[in-house]
Amino acid sequence: MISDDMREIFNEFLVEAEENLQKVEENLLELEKDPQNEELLNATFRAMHTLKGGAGFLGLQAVVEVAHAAEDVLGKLRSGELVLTPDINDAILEAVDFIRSALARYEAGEEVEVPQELVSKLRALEQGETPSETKKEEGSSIDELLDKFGFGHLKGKPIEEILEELILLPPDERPMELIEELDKIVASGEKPKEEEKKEEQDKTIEPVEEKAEEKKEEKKEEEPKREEPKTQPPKADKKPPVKTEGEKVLRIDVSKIEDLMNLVGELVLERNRLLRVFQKLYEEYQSKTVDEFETVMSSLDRIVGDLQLAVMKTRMQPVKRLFQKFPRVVRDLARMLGKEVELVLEGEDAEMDKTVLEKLEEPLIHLIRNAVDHGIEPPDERERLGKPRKGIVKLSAYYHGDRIFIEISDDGRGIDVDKVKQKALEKGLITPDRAEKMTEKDILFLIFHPGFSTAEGVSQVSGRGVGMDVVMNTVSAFRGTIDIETERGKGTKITLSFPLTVGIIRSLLVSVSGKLFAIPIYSVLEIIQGEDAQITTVSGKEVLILRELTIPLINLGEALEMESGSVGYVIVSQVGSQKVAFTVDDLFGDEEVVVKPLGKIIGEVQGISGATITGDGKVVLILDLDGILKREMRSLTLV
Amino acid sequence: MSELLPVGETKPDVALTDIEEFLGISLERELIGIPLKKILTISKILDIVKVPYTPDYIVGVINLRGEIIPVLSLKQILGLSETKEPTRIVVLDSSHGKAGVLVDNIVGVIRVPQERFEPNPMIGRYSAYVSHVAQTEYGLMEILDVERFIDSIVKKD
Repeated sequence: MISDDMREIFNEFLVEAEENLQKVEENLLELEKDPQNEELLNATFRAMHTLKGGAGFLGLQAVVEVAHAAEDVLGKLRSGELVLTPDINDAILEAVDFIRSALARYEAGEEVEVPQELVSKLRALEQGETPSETKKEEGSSIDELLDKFGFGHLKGKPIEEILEELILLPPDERPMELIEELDKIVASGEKPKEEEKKEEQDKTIEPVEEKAEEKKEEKKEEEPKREEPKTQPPKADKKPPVKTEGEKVLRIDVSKIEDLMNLVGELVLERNRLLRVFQKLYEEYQSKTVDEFETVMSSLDRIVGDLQLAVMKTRMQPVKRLFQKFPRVVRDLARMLGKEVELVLEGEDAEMDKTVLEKLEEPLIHLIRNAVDHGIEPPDERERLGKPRKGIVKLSAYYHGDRIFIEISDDGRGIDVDKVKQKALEKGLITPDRAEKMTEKDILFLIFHPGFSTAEGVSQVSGRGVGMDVVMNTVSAFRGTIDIETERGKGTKITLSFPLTVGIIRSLLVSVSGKLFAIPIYSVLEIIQGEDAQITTVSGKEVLILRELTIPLINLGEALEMESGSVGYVIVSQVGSQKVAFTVDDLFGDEEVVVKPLGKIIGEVQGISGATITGDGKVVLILDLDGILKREMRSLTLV
Repeated sequence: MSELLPVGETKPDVALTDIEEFLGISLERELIGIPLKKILTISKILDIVKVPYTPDYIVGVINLRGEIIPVLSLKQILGLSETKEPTRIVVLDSSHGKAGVLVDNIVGVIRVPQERFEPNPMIGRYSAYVSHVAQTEYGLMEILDVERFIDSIVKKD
């Protein structure tokens, strides 16, 4: 147990420990490609050593023992007495996982026992024994293992299938121990292959990392049988992960930053008002004072803008924090599935809002998993197709305008649009009639439909119950957009974009049944005058005909459970994956508004993303068209 | 030193520790006491903006000094009839945030010694939100358990 007076030190230690664990993890993955990089080995050893020291001070015995054993192995790697093999790597990664979970349990006030098995495994490795010798008896019976972990229902299936089943579980439900055990069984079964691999390893696998360019040249000659990928992985400007120690960091309560954001938001709005008032003044009066006023105004304008940016930046974190979790995911997944996959990370230094960043982990894991599992072909198939054996999954982040883009692409088999169409028809998501009229992109977007990927649906595209709709929901929740491009045999690219400013959004002010509402402008595609809109009904529902496209038309007044409004204007918007038109009474221009939540008491209301306060003190609700559409879909089937 | 009073104690009255202060409000024919320490402010009825898709007892939201605050209908939640027009919004502070409730009239601050508290004899209806009752100069006052009341609304959603 952690005593109260140690609590503070413990909390400090937790932060530091996580950094060290991440460092170890990152370095190990790097070392897999470059097993004799001394600098990396040293850094890894040091990180583990620091961790052990801190844990010792706090009396976290289980962590100390494991860290100690891992440190000893790393020590021998460093001195050259041992050479890094995938097995050693696995064992140390297992130690990292254990330490992480042990720390969580210590934090929760639980006791943690020393995992003797893991410690002795590490000790054995340190003594130079290969785990296939020590661990042979482990592979006694797959059925026993399955029972032990509560997966009895998978008994009798081929082991590869079991592994695939397990790996497709959400990460927090994935029984890593079981997978590792099974993996070992697979490995020992394919012994010759394994040994061959080890042999190569001993000769040092040529580093794929570009920083060792010259070394690569030399190594190539020694290893003529290793195939070089035809296309070089794009050169990410990656520095060695040995960071400069002691960043200057001040930890601040998030609520203080929220307050600051709110105030700046208000300030921005007032500045906007001031600018408008000044504009009028400028038109009405011409004098020296007004000119001077203008100079002051423009510098005030600039300062407020800078201030807004500066405060926003305090909430921003590099996407690296998120990205660095994925190499491990890809590595594990690829190993389980028997594929060769390289994850290329780009633009890791791009920053985005912390809250969005945190929520993105799940969806990105979904997408990456899909790319590895369904996109990238098995190595033999790739070879047959004339592609390099090793598939590439690329995750990159970049800015464009006032949005940040995150792109996941793979060079795999691409999505079979016809299959998607067929499946959507089978599931009754679309009618054959509609399917005819849909563009390829419209059809692709069906994979995000909640009804598309269901538990029994083993599809080419989205997997087993891995809900792409979850991805879509998360993205929409943060006013994000999603785009998907695919080419058969060439690969798939999914692009997510999010606004940089979370607190302030440019909105269109509209009135519906006499009430003011704000519609975020990013979702508005175009606005049509009511009298120019071509509206007809299809099976009793109103639709808008726009350049030969039939777009569902929603009367916003009715949708908002108020009186049905007039059709002053029609707003065509991109909602999630489809176009939808909404009628409003009148328009009042666009404005930047500060989004304020409705609070815990009202809670989340689907269709309303928050409220804002206008310059004259009125409360205006901000509509979430995506949510409104979802509500509508529940009452009528938009087919 | 012994003459100095600890900070926070308002009056040197010995019995004070046992006296609690309430804001008496009227709702239809009921007198309801809201613990004074739970009240942030009392405001006139401002522009209340109805939030679509929310239950009727959420009357809407108001702008209270730049903050968005929900306004609740105490009458609807307690299941009272609605014949009188509310005139004030009492803004409460709860662990779930601020919330306004519509009240018909403000009676005033009512001080009740703790020994006058009686357990709520009623069952059913809104008795869950009334922790105690007490006899006062204005008649029988029902004491509102603000935390429980707000809590039940948060859980409902």
